[in-house]
Amino acid sequence: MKKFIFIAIIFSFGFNLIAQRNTLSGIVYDSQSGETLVGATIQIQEKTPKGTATNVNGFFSLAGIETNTVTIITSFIGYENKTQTIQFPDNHKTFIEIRLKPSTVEIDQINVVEAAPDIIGDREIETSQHRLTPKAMKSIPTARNDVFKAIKFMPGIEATEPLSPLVSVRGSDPGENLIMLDGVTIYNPYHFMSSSGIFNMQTVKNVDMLVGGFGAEYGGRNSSVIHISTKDGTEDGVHGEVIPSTVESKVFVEFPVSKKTTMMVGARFNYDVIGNFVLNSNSYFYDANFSLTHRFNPKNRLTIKYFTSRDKTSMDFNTIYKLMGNTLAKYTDPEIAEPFQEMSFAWNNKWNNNIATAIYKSVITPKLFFRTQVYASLHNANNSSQFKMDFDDIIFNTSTAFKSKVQDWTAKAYLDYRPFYNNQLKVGAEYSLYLFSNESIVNEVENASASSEPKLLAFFAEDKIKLGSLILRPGIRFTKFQDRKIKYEPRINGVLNLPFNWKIKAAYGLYYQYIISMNTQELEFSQFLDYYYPLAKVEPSESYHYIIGLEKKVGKNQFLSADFYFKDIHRTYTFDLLQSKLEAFALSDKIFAGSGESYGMELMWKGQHHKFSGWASYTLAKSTRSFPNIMDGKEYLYDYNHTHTFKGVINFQATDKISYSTDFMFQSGVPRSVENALQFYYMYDPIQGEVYYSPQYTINQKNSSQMPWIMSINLGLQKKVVRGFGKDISNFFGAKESYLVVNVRNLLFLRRNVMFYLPVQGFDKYIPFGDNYFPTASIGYTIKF
Amino acid sequence: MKNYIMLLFITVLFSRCDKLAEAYVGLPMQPKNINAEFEPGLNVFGVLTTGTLPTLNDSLRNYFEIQEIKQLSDTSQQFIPDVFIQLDLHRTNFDTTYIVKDTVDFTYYNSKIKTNPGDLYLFQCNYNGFFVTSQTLVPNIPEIVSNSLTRDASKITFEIKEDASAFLYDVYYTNENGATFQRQSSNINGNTLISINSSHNNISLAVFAYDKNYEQYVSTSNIFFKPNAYRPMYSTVEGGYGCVFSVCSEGYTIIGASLEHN
Repeated sequence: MKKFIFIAIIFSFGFNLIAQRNTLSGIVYDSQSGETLVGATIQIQEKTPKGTATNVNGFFSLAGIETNTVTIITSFIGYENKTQTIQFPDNHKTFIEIRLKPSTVEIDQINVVEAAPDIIGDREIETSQHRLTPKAMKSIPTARNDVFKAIKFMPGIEATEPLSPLVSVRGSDPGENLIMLDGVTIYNPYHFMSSSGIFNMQTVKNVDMLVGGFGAEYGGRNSSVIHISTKDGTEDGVHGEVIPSTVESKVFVEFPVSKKTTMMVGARFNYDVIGNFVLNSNSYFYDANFSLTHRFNPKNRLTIKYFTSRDKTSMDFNTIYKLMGNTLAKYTDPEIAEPFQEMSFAWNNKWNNNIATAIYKSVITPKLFFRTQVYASLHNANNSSQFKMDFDDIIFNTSTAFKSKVQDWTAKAYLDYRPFYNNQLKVGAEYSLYLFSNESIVNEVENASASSEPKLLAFFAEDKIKLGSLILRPGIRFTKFQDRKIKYEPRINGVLNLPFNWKIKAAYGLYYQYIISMNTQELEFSQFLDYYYPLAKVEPSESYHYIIGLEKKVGKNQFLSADFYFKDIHRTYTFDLLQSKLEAFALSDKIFAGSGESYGMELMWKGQHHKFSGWASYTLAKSTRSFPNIMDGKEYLYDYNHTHTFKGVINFQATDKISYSTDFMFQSGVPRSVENALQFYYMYDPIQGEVYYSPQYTINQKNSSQMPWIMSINLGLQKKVVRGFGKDISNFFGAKESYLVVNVRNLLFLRRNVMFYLPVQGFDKYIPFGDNYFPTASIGYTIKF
Repeated sequence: MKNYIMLLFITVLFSRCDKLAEAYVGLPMQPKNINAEFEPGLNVFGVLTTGTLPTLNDSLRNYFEIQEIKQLSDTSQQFIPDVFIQLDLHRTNFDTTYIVKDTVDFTYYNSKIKTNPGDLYLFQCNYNGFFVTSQTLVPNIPEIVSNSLTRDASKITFEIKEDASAFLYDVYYTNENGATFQRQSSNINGNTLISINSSHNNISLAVFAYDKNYEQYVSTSNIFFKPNAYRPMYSTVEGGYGCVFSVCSEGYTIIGASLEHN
């Protein structure tokens, strides 16, 4: 009860402030494309200067303006400032549309990092936040066109495995990240291999990451929020981009349908030609985005978005094994080919996503903004793999098959109310109907299946209050999942602005997660996907975030920051899918509750210095877990624990037409369970009455060894084509401009980044298997029209 | 001068070629142990069979294999001789003890052991300070419920009668793809439904019922190809690793829609 009184006092505090006279509100657009601009700043020149920034919908509201005539200056990185004078009418309320022209000043084009990330819309209060623009992502040689490759260069966000697209944020499980596409929760937004995200970069407007301490608006995940916004379409003629390639072709077009309606269509198709030739695979993926936005009037707009993606990947290494065997037999002992003839390793994975959503945004009054959204997010996955070896009395036959189906039907809405200049109240509600269906078959023994249709109802309220140089945002989120008792999650963020451009940020939050994922990393050759499972019968997983950060602006365009975080993972779950049916008949009996903690320090520089721009960070971190079914509850270093990480992206704008970039990552290795013994498992053949042996290397301690450091440096070049063959091609298509893009990856190829260690009986060393044995180079053209 | 330098470079390169190759594949970069400890022990496999179906190796229906778990760098023989093995049989109105010491190809056996459904065996073995025990209750003869048989053009379904001593069934049969088998955990609350794909009119079925130990061993065994994953040694025996289990068999023939014992 005391907590409720405290929260009520905090919320009511903002209303007790004295109301002031005029209110200015509006939406800021790109004057060419008509896209709303998120994070544009609006400053009022009066006796006491005031300022605000646009929210994720491009909306702003400034209350308490004392004079009836004011001059406002609107600015945004990459755009020309706009100054205008506003005369307030008798009712003291004015709504305006502000259209900013893209800047032609070169210095603004150099910086790949947002110049003022601390004042982005609602996020001035967020403690641990990162934003990546398409421009920044295109400057990363490793991740030219991939959201999930790009975000791994931000501090606190790490790859789980070399071949997996999944990410671990601040020592969390990948299933604890809330990934949203235009407000829609999306399940497994990944393409196969190469850590490829399903978001076509041509359609992406921004990627925002809240890696901890996020507000009450977001819920249902314990670790982070990754929000991807896509474009709405342009009002200014037909624009687009075509990237033809033998492997992956992309097309993107945006255009006005009518004076009030815009449309965007993007599509991508990838076929693994090399894999098909070498590994007899049949792998492809495609994805497509569609967006239609209609503006009824300046204050009301409706957006309909549709997204679809499909992946199919099958690999078969039989041909390779036979080739290896025959080659070895030719030069050594002919009998050596025998085991290779009976060896096979294959996987067959299929998954798809379909999303449809309608978003309605309305400026009801100059102080009140309303957003509502309905969506359906559907996901299906069917993954199987098998390794077989049959040689004399040695039989190794192991397989996994996982099926997962998710249907998420959600309606949500929020009101953004700004009664006073120094007060912003946000309240919202969300209702979701789910369907989860899971099935697992391990080593050809039917393991478990489960299907359920839970419901989730959530409410949130948060109030951002400015008290001089202090900004506070208390918030609370109420959730009711299925028939369980209502849970509430209090959260608070605070920022204290200090002299000399220093800031102190802090956050505390309680987070519940009702939908977890089965971690199959140790069963599947590479866990490509999360298999989602609702916690209908047990308490939700629960974690507490404690964060404190320091930030300093250095010069005009540089920022230094330090974040210190501690995550008390009070309750988390793991699946023991290897339990027999006797021990656990249902999937719900195969989960074990445990606990853990993650803590660390993230230091970061970002910004621009002369012609250089980018960011670099160092992270010191530790993450541990403890589960009763693993080493009798003894604490161990978590699977994704990197103690030291140093990474970054630097872009050098040599001229207005040529830029060079590099990305780098130096990271201490993760803990792994490197085997130290050999156990023969027996398989009985009742027809023959004989026993066969499956040799299995074993280890009784979880994560008992540390892998070596991972090091990588990659280079990129982007050149605007002004003559020659490239220009001829762009002229042929009538393109506005075209770019030559060259990437040279894996410069440190002589040093091995070890993925696995293969144990060999009788040999005192492990055989390392790495990735990137050779440097690679790629050259491509981008044609814009 | 240039030629001398080149000659020197090539000489060094070739003399250190193996070292360079090792460095390139990453061999000097070995994992750093944090808390890995090796735990030695015996790895035991024992099978006791009964039922109407003969095996191709019918003279050896009950046997045991004993190995020693070794560290990876140890190349000595895993199969070990001179192990003391004792088997205590508890049968209604009949208890006896067998010492198992005859060996063939590293397999221990005692030809006097004759297993019956419902027998309870207590197993123990002793070697070099390791002491392993286990027990197994021999399953009853798997019985197909005669009126449960249904079939259509490509599928045959039937039920195996509920039996508290049987936890896993293997059903061997022949269909269009040749000889195959299906593995099914028993239903803990009633008859176990088996469904097989075959359009053959006459089908021979070999049904094997396994005890609790084997069901757990097979469905839980930590056999996977992914390296460097947590794989604790699995066991259904006390004091060591492995499995001692029993199996009971019965043969059937399906002709059309009727079922016959072999």
